[in-house]
Amino acid sequence: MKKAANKNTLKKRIQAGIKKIRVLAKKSQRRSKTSSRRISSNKKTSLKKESVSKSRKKKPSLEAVSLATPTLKHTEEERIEVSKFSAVETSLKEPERFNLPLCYNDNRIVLIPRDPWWIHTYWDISQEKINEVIAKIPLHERENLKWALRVHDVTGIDNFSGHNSHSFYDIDINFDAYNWYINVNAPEREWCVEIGLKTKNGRFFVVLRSNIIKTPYFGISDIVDEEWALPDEDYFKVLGVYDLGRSSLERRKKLEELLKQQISSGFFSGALSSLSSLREKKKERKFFLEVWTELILYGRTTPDAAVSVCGKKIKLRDDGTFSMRYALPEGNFRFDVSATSQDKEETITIIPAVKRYTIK
Amino acid sequence: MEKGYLSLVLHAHLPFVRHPEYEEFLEERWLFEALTETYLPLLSMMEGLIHDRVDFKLTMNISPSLSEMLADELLKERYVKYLDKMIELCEKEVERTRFYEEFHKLALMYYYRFSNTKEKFVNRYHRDILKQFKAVQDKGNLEIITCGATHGFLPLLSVNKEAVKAQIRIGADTYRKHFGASPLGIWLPECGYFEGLDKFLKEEGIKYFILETHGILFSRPRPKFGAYSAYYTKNRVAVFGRDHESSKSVWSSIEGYPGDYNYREYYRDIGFDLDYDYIKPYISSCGARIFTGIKYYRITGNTPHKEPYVPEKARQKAAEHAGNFMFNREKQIEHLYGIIGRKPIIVSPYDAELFGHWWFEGIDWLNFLIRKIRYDQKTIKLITPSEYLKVYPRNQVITPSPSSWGWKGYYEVWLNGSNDWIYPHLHRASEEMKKAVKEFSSDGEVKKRILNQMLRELLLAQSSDWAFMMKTGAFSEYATKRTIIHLERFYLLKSYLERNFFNMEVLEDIERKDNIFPHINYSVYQT
Repeated sequence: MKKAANKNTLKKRIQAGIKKIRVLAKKSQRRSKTSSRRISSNKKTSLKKESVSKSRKKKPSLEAVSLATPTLKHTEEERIEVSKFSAVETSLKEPERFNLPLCYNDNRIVLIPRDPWWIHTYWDISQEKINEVIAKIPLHERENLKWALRVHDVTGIDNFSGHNSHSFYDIDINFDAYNWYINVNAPEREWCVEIGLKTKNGRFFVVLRSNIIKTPYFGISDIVDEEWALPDEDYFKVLGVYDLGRSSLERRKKLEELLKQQISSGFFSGALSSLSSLREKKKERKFFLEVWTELILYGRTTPDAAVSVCGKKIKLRDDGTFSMRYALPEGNFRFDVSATSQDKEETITIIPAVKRYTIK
Repeated sequence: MEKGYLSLVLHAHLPFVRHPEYEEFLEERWLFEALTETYLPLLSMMEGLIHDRVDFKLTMNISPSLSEMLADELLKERYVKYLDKMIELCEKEVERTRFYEEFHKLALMYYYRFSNTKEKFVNRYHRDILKQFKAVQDKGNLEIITCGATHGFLPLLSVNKEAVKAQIRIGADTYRKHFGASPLGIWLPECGYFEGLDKFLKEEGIKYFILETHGILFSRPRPKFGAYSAYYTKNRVAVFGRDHESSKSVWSSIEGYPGDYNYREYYRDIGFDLDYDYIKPYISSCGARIFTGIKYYRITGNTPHKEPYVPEKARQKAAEHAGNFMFNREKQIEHLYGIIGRKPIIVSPYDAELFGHWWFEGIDWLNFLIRKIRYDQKTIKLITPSEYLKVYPRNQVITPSPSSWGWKGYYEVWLNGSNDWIYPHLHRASEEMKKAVKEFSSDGEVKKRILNQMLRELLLAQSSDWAFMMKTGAFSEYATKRTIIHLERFYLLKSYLERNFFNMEVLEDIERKDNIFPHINYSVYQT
């Protein structure tokens, strides 16, 4: 009984989670999973990639699963790290012969953790394997089969057999999505996922079972080493948190809230300011105009002459021509250009002058 | 007597970018810029400190892929060419700005920087940077640590144990090759930790690693000293936690130093500002404007209008900020010392490229900070993590929390809608690698060669940099291409093994292109 109740609340949570994903997915860039899996290098820019995938969109339902993080959300550290790679947009010219297969048909489902609350799974299943499982389903139940993921809590279970988990719940999925993000919402628990077919009556036929993973920890541990104990008050001072309340329960709750808030805002990971950092936040209008002036001074003489501009010797081209370029601020400028013949017998000086000003 | 310690840790890393198949390849500039703006200035700073007999302790990760690039002849050759071109541009700039005093001074500064860099690189260091860093290590001032072979994000590779093992073992091997000793510590790529990783570190003889703050705070049981002490994992590898407060003051552009209005503005660069025809020979060969590294403005303020950069003022600010940083650490240490009853350690890790490249004055700041700590106070002392373990060899045993130093603290930066497609391929290739080693390793020299090259390709595909670039959107096309190319080459080579047919020309071509880790040994995949 207890198990069933547990299952129900979990189910509700999961459904809420899925709804959330869908909303997020819609909000985020609409890129279909097929395109990202069928990555080939013959796409010129990521922008083009999007338009390609849109025009190729065969399975609109696939979009719902792509929980794409909005790509513009850079944290400060990321911005700095990106700056390491600042030279250029891109410059690949190699023949476009590279391609990876969409599937390997090698029958696998793999589970990896993303954070204390979310896990990620992907699968790759051959038609033969699917047929094999379908063959086990009684004929009259084969209509309207649906793909589902069965998420098992297997914390502390050594020999998970598919039937001895603490609890499980099912998620309807789109098989062609090839992957799924699952909001288990429980840190430090162990999980196993089965992919399978569900009949109209709710019977679940397993196709493949994943590896077992544990979600990362969250929160300050209650377990205190006797040998390495510090009074609570002092401990919180080490953490740099004060005024958390009187009772230990109250303190605990407040601390947990604080930590969760800090983690999701990137407090610990140094990513203290996302794009909304000081420099980004400025209410700067995009429109602007900058005008600069440069002066080009050029001329020619005999190739063996010595030429100077304002007393500084300059280099001549082989044919005796020369060209100088100066940034010109406001003001009056004279350019004393002198050429001296190789035998030093003759010197010619010409002094062009300019006045640079801005009409207000 | 000091009351606590500060451990500054610099993480220097770039993904392996080397394209002999092109005359010029712009992504190779990442290395050239980092050399000019960060690695060589850092080296000069350390040499200056040694010259002035300032006792200091720094910890620095020079990642295996970066080490391999720094040791590569082709890239060295290209770097010198790059410097020549930059010097040529600087000469033109000195001339062009003759009637603009503020800019003229700066043009001269850049001219001096680039010429000086070339002089040092070619004539003093004989193009061997690693040897110079090693020399500082041998003097006892610098502790160089290693990293994952190609900076693979280990938690997401851990589906295949061999993948983790190979990243760490080849990381340690590469370190031994370049620095002639075993690494004491490791910088886990992106501080990525998963339960059980310490066992792999132990097997490779690594003594310590560093985690993000909550990797320690959320460990089980409760860590007595918060992030301010060393701990041991169950496998007796020491672990340290990043201090949040000191990171903030450098990383954050709201509260952090690099946002100061006197500092150089990163985004204004003559590559974008100057007349197209003039700058064209110095930007991308396809004609796209890029950053040249020559920047004339300071941040100025919340305005699109930028004022010329004044190096003296910026330097003054850097000194001021170093003083402020030191003062805050003193207060922090005093506060902690009073509570925890042992000398705390504040571990402050930063991306090395933050200094000099992004935060132009960052190396001045570091230089001031180190000197001030030595002469202006008595509360804190610089230390390396391994030396802290000598001060406190007895530590609490904990199970650290899986975590990373990326946005939101876990694995999401490297696992989201923009990059999750890579994992089915990466995991499968690892399995295929294992199978191939089992099947073909006793099958003659050519097959061994192929297996080694397959491992190089697999490692290159695993660089977390690609997933990161896909996520941020910057260079995502290049990152996608790199991931695919290496997996493609991997499978091509594997097909040679299976068909017992070798196109030696293709094999040699691939070996020539992806020549990272020349002494690699596939046996790490032997089970």
